[in-house]
Amino acid sequence: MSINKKVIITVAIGLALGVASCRKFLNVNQNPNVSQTATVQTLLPAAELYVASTVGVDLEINGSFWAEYWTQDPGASQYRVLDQYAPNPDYFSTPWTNLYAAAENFKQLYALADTLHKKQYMAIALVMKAYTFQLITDAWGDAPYTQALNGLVIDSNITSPKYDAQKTIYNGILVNIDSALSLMNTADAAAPGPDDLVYGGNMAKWEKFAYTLKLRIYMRMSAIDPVTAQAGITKLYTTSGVAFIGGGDDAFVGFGYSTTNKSPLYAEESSTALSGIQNLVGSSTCIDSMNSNGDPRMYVFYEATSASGGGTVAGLTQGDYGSTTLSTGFSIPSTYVAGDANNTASTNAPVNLITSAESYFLQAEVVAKGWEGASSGKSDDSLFYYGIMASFNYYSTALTAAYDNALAGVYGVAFPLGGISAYNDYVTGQFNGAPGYWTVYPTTGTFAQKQRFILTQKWFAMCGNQGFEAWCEQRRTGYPDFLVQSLHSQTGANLPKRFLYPTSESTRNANFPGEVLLTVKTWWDLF
Amino acid sequence: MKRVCSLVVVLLMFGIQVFAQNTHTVTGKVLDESGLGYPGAGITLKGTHIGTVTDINGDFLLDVPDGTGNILVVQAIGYNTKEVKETEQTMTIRLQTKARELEGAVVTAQAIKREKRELGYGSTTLNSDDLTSGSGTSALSDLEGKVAGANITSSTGGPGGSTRVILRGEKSIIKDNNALIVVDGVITNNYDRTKSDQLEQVDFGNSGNDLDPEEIESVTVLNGASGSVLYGAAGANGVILYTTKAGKHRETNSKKPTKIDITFKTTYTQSDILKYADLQNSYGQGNIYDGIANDRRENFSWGEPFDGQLRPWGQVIDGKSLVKPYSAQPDNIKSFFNHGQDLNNFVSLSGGNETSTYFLSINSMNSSGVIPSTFYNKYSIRFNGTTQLSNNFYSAINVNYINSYSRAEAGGQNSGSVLDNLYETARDIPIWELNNYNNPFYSMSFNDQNGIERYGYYGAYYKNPYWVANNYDNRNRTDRMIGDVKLGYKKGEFDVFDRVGVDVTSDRSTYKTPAINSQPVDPFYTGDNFTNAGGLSQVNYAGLRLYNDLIANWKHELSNNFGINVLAGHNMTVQNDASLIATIDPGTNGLVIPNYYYFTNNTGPITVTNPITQARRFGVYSDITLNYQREIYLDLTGRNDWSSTLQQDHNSYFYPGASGSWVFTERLKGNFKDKVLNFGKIRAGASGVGNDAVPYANNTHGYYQGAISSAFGSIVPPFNNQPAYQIASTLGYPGLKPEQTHDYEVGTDLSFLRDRISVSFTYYSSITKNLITNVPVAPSSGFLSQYENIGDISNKGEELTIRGTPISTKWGLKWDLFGTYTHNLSNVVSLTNGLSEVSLGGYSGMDIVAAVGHPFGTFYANDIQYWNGHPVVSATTGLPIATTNPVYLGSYQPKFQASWGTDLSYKGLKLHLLFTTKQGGEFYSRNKMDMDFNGTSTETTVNSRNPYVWANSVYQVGATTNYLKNTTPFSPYQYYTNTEANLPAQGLVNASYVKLQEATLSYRIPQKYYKNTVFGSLEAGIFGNNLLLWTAKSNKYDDPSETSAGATGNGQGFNFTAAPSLRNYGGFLKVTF
Repeated sequence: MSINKKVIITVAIGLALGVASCRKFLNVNQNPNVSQTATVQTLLPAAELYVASTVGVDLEINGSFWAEYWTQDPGASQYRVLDQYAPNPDYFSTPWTNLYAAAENFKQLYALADTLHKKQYMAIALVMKAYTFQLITDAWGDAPYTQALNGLVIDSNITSPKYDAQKTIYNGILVNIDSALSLMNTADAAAPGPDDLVYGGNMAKWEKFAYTLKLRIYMRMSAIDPVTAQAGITKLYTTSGVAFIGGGDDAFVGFGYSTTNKSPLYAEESSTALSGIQNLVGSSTCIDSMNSNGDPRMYVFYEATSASGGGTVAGLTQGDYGSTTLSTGFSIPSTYVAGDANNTASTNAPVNLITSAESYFLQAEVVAKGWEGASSGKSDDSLFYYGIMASFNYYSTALTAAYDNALAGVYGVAFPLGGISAYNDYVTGQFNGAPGYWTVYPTTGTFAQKQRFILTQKWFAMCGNQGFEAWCEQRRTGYPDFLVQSLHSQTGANLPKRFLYPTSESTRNANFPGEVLLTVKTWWDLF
Repeated sequence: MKRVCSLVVVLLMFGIQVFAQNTHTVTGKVLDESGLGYPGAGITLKGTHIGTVTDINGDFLLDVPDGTGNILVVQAIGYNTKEVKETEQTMTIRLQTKARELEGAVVTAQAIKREKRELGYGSTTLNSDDLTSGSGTSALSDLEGKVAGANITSSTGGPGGSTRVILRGEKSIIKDNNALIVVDGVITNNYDRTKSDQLEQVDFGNSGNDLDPEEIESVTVLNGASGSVLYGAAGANGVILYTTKAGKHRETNSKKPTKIDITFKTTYTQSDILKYADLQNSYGQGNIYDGIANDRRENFSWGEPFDGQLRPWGQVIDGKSLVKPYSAQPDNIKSFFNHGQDLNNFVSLSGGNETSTYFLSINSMNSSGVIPSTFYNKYSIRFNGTTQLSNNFYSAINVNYINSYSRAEAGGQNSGSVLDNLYETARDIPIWELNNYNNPFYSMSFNDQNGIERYGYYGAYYKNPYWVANNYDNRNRTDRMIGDVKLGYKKGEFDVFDRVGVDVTSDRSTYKTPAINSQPVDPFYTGDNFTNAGGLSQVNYAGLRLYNDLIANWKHELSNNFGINVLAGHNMTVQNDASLIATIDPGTNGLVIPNYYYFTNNTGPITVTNPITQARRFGVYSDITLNYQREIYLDLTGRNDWSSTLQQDHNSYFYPGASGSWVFTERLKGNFKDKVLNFGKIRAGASGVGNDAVPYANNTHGYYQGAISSAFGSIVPPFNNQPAYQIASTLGYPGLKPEQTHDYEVGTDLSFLRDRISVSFTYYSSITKNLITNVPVAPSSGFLSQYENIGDISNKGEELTIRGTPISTKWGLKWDLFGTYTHNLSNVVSLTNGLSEVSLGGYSGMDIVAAVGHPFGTFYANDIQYWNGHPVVSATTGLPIATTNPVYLGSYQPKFQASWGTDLSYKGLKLHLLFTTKQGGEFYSRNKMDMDFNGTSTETTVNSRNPYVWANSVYQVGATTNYLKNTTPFSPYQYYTNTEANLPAQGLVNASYVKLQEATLSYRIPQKYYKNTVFGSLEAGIFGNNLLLWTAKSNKYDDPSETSAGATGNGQGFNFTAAPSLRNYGGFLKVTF
């Protein structure tokens, strides 16, 4: 037995030695596939791209369908559910996920910039997070805000954040923007450079962006909470140094730098899965009204039906994807809005966050309402025409190209002037023989009459390039007032009023309050 | 570390040197009743664990202690156990037939041979003949129908396809649940070569299928955790232990020169598709409802009824058009597929002298698939050698090199899916004519006189499937080396050895996407272009599994009544996986020169990632077996593991096990034992197995530069030269605890009527706690998933194996029957954090989930609303209304599985049949949804496509809770082309089936006819496997075995236009020299 004991002891000692030295052997669990740190210069563009991707793809498609710029091409079927007003909740999974990813990355950027004392990065992170949360709440209504983005263990590891009322989110993002403004210093040397994909680190423009965003937020609240909205707007107008986005300040992310940096909508449509099948086609709701108004921008936002000559811009009735007419008889959205799935020129279309046209139309509405509190020096009618002109300016290259095409006989009609001159022809009616209905501003009309013109022209300006914002404003104001019910509506005359919470959220968040129907209005939607 | 571990070896060797005891070698031959050598018989020294197994000729060699009174126990499958006293050094032992037995030697964990009577847990052992009875193409799929408790799914059933083996139900959400595959004691790397992208799947099989069935001597399947506790975490899912063939020692003192045993086997197999979908043959191309009645571009079969009249079809090219009668082509899909062919050659050479043995085998498998241009070639070489060194040291080496090269076509929905392009064909298109795609009418790409790239193919939305099969090119090449070296010391009651095992893989998959940019010729087709920039993707994978096992065993008879066996061991595991994945994505990038597949041939940046994972484990374990009079056995096991994947303060976990058995027939005497119940054992076991996390699951977060993706497109940074890093969307969790499986089982093994009938039954119950999963979290948290211990899964079930021999005559006629029954009830017991389910897989609105109170793998999707069992439809359209939220549907888990086999033999002639069945369970068929959408399925022709009332339907009265009987007919066209897409639950199909798994007729020519020739034995036969399939009546679509999830994906039961399963049949010739 003593010998056996010896063996057992020997084995035990040997094994014990082995165990003791295994600590080092087992120390191989640091993930080599990710970096432990990032820099502000690398986080900012990623976060901005998340916003640009979502605004450019999901929000643009849904918005442009429901604002009736676009409808489903009969030759394909990808977006029929939008014209049916019957997308399932998971249809909204990508925008929900990507917007929260954007916000989380802005949060990370803010935290890192804070430790590095880079105030301008902190400011941009706050403004863009506010911009992102407005998109979220305008699309879905109530949403996690105060407890959102706290997944990390150091952030309390909250994986089921509670939902906040839309009003809470609105108040919160207004505070965020104020904090951002207090950090902004247009002369700070530690500002970003080309890593800021929106303004290249131009803090003066970021200031205008922040003020214009406040204007957008207050105007959205203007019906449901006029007291707060008016007070906020008046304060903007009576504070010195406040300026809004004007010509040349347009906030957008440019694309087309390489084949992997395609304009997001084009990247989507030309992807392996959708393989360049043309799903988007112009809706007659927009095209018919542009046509009857002699609006030359219809040659910018849409392509003529036949490239070989004598073509026209013709729309398909909203939701008429079962049309028996060949789909080649309809105009598709142009490369300027990344709508042509088979033309590489679509790769360069920018994604617009806030344009100068939008800024002018917002200001026009404020002045028409008389909320500026102090003279802004500009009348509502002049701001109305500035808005239209800003839209023409933004697309002046495209208008020149359209003019050249007209000379070459691509369209079945003549086209008087290219570039910005087209604006003059448009408002004076040169193009159509007489000024179009929507170009004659009711200077002496009631606010409602004025708002109808401002919002309708805003809608024209946002055709396929700010579809989501146009849909939001249409929900807020009811303008344009000539949207139709899709031929394939499954909800009758009830048009979509919000997005659905995706199952990725509803099934995973223990605090999820319950799905809300697509046709239920959001908080500020009183129309 | 290495120094310390080898020090342990030296210490142990030193300690054992003290016990030197003299032995001598006994050699002999075991003969069956016809006088042929019996391979695979177990020889053990009575009362000890010293044992061996006879070689292919029935020869054996065994070291026994000096002295007299040694008794050899000879056990062979199908024969009575025989005890023979050692009388001389060379012995001849004749076996006597009996029915299937329950006793015999089995190989258990760590290649330790045990007698089956000792085991306190259920297991199945198959010898080489049992395993290869159906001449299947892989050592995994050959197990189908032969192992109670196993759920085996061979997705294609053909060469190179994947095979999933689940023992006693799935136990983990995040990890692969396949049984551990162990070859000669070495754990192998069973990784999945299948590309299972949601939209595109390419099945290159799983590496568990690399092993050649002919190399296998025997296989033991340990179903439960108690049998596998010695393998640690890796054995939690049960273990398949393969023992490969070995050479034999030359007979001692023989004057004959060393003889080489040569075996040659050649097998020719032909393969066809096992099940084609039922298609309608009444309506042809076009769309009379919502478009152009006879639209020549269409994949839709919603056209006019067939009238047999001549009609032009396809594009008009140079004013000419193809003409064909407008009538159904019932076999147009079928005509696309070839007969698969496979030639499999196997040669082995083996032999030995007094001290050494060797076994060398070479295998080649060359096959062409059913889809044009696909193939699978595999070559493997194995060398097994043993040698007895001086001073009681012994050594062994096993080396297996495998090379495979294959081309497989994609399934799924992507544009490169041959199957999708094929199935999207209208019912009147003569597919076989499209083969010649150089003909302009069938072409995808040619240049017209103006230099414009054109296509003349009839379809505007899908491509010519022959062109796709030949131009989309997916290949896999694997070089793999599995082997181990072992050095041991054995002296009397002590045996200690150290073994280093290694499995090294170099694996390369290449996916080529052809460039195309063609416009139609016919103006009617204007706007329908095919554009793809062309792409290339390559995945280089290098995998390493390195193990060191040091095992010491001591066996002792404490007294005449008590025996003890003590085993102690330690194990070190190193797991390294590294991939390099480079892609030229045709969606964001493309090839410059078409058809030149090289990474410099690109128009923009290449996407490259190089994921690396490393895991290491360290374990010590012990196994103590006690027996009382070889009647009562008690087995106690314990293991402690340390894993690199858990936080250092809780990376250590211990798990014990205990099992016992009582051979109660030892207490019986007389006639009852002789004539009624000759063997009976009851057994029980309880054990635990710990399981660690996947690597890096406890790292809280990280940043990376990666694509910013929308639903289908993406922006890949750097963006305009700006690098863009984002926070990883997966949250790690530092406090992860190891998973623990607790497994209990009771069972009995009984033999009646002198082994004419034997029954083996096990009831088991297991629960896996603290499941570690990368569980999705609400995106509003800023992240998408987190590693967590999320809950418990239980599995309960019964396993039953029955064998019987109704007829066994002295003149050689024998009839054996065999059956198994398996029932497993899987249940997700709880999930934490208020989660109700965790997604395992699925796509397109159909989720496969682990949901509380439901079996693992439950379908979760939107279905038709029901009111008191009545489908609710719209009062205006008559169309069914979808639920607002997904609902729990069926599961892919079968309710039960069974097999039934019969062997009828007369002298050398043998007929073998094996039927298998799975009953209950469902699968999702994208083909069904697609066929409905396209109007090719038979249900689209109900009521001649005129509106009819949805059976038993009701409608809701306004917004009230009142429902009334519905009389509004619905439009089948509207339903199938529109509504059904929002009802993914309608894609579920009953997965029940009965299969003729194996049928073999073989003849072993009696030796007397070639006694004086070079031949040792001659055998020839014809066989079929996966031969016939009977499915549920409602399943008009697919073989339920087909899967898009590969072997290791947990989202099973999901057929997203997966590769079709095959029926294989052929003949073989086996010769030994």
